[in-house]
Amino acid sequence: MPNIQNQSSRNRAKEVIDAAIDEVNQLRPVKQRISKSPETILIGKSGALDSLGLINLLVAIEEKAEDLFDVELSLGLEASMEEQQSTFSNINNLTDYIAKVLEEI
Amino acid sequence: MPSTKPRCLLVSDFNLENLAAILSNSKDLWDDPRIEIIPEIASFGQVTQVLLDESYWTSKPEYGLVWTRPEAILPAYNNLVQTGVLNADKLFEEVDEFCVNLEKSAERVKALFIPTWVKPNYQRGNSLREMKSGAGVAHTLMKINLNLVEKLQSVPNIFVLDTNRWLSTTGQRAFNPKLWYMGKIAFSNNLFKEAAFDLLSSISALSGGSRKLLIVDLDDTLWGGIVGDAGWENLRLGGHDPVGEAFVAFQQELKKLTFRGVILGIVSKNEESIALEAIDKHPEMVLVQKDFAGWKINWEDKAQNIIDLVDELNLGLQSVVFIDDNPAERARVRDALTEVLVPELPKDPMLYASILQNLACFDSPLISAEDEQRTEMYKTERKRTELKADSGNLEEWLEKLEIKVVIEPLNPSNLQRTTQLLNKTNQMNLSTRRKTEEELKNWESGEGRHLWTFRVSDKFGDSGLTGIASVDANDQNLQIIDFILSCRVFGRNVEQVMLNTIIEYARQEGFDYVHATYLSTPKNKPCLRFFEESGMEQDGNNFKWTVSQTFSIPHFIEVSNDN
Repeated sequence: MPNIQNQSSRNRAKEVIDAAIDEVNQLRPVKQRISKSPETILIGKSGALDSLGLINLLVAIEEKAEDLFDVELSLGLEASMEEQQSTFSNINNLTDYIAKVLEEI
Repeated sequence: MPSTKPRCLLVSDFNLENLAAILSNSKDLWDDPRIEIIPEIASFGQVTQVLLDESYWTSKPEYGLVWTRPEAILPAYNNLVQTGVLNADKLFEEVDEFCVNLEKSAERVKALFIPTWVKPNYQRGNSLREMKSGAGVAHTLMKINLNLVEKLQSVPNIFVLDTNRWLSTTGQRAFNPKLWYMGKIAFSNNLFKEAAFDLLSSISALSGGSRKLLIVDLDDTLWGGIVGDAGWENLRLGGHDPVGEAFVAFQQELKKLTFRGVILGIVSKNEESIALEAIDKHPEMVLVQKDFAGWKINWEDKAQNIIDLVDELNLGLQSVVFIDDNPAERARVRDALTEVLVPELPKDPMLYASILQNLACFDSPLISAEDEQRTEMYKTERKRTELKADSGNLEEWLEKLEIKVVIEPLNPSNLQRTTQLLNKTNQMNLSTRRKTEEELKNWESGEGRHLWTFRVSDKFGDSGLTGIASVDANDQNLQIIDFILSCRVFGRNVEQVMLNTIIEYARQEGFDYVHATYLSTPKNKPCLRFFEESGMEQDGNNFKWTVSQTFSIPHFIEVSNDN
């Protein structure tokens, strides 16, 4: 079942994530740039990001959320690997998560 | 094929992987085709070990960057931050020890870069005590930075970089505690971008990549308004007018660049007489005609005019920066002349001066007397060209110039200029090797080696130290290592004087042959042409002269040899 969310929150989340990915891609060789497609796997064995890449993406998302929507996000506070895995496993999940946070603010 | 990009070892007590990533992607981040490098990261957190242990430098990086946090490298500073108690003697001993270690490391590379120490901007401290001697952290930070700079002053290949400028440019986002806690990354990527830009600009400057010629447009660039329509009396320049003041400030910035050895030129679509009248007569002009080494003021295509001006000044297009308010002209020049740097100019003239102040392409490690007089030298070159036009043939023109060449050995008074010439010259350069002052001095003191410098003057003026020749003995043969001549004095037969000097030395020292090997680069074809036409025996890129044969020089050059 697709998440039923406020479409504008999801659009805002996508805008934030796309801008953050542009930022992070500046640190990566052309062939290793992260695709903005929802299916892109971010972490795990076949993930596009190593631990440093994930840190850079989280910080970039926080900064872009502040720049674009004046919203303060706090990412990366998950205590367990499972929690982290479910939030950041792919761009679709990440978009859902950010959209949910944006809705709650 | 092995990469020819220089390598830079990054040494730090924090995680520099993001800086390395930015350096690796520099081509995608900046338009200016500055140098590319290969960053190598030494394991972080082991600064002293890396500085002292040769084994960390086995890959022979050409450059090094040693970036530390004061609280990590200086325990006495950390104690001050944690407890508010300063042991100044201990702190300055620690700074001294760090400087000694840096000095040792500098021997392994062409240049070592040291960013100054800073504290995170969220560490506000106690504003009433921050600048107090003794307990003030900000005060102590200033003192240890000053101490660092002064201690390293005598090491010619150590360059201290200003981290505070990167902080102020990056603003509040220079630091992010999250980056530190999650990845031991001391600075944000925005700050790393500033650092990478300065590091690459510095390496480019040290490798001879500085630009030399700044060409400006006139209307709405050097002054406000169209001189052909409004007349020089009605231009917006100076006065009680913020826009007029901004154009004056822009001209002042251009003038400042001339003191750093940058030469100015004009390419403008205008009537020449009207434009020059404005330059001569407007009372608020900061720049006068003699500040410009040359100009092309006409209605022709600006790209072609730039080519013609550069040709007239004997420079290469890679030396040129072009500034024009008109986006269409900028696009035309960018498109036609890809080597020319064409910075974007904002629409608001009040921002023009800041664009110039922020250009890194004129950076240079040294400013010599020749740099300061460069515009004057190019002006005299114009007079020479005019004389050439009046003379019937080349020899007649050269005779009229009354050329004098003074030959001197390498000595402490000319070491700086010689090194600068060695590292900047691209066209008449046999081997295009680059060396620091220390490296050049050490090389020259080796057995069987000799180096001459050549100062050139004529009746129009002194071109200064513009030539270098060096040789290395190899049994009965003398190998030419450097054969370098500034483009300012090309084609005046100084090349012949240089070759004659080498051959005469070979004769006196009993060598049979003089050899030269041309090492090709994209820019040094003029050197190949000279050797091909010199009369030396050619075998591919190798040239040979039998010393028993005399190599004559033109009768009209007066040579004085102080060797």
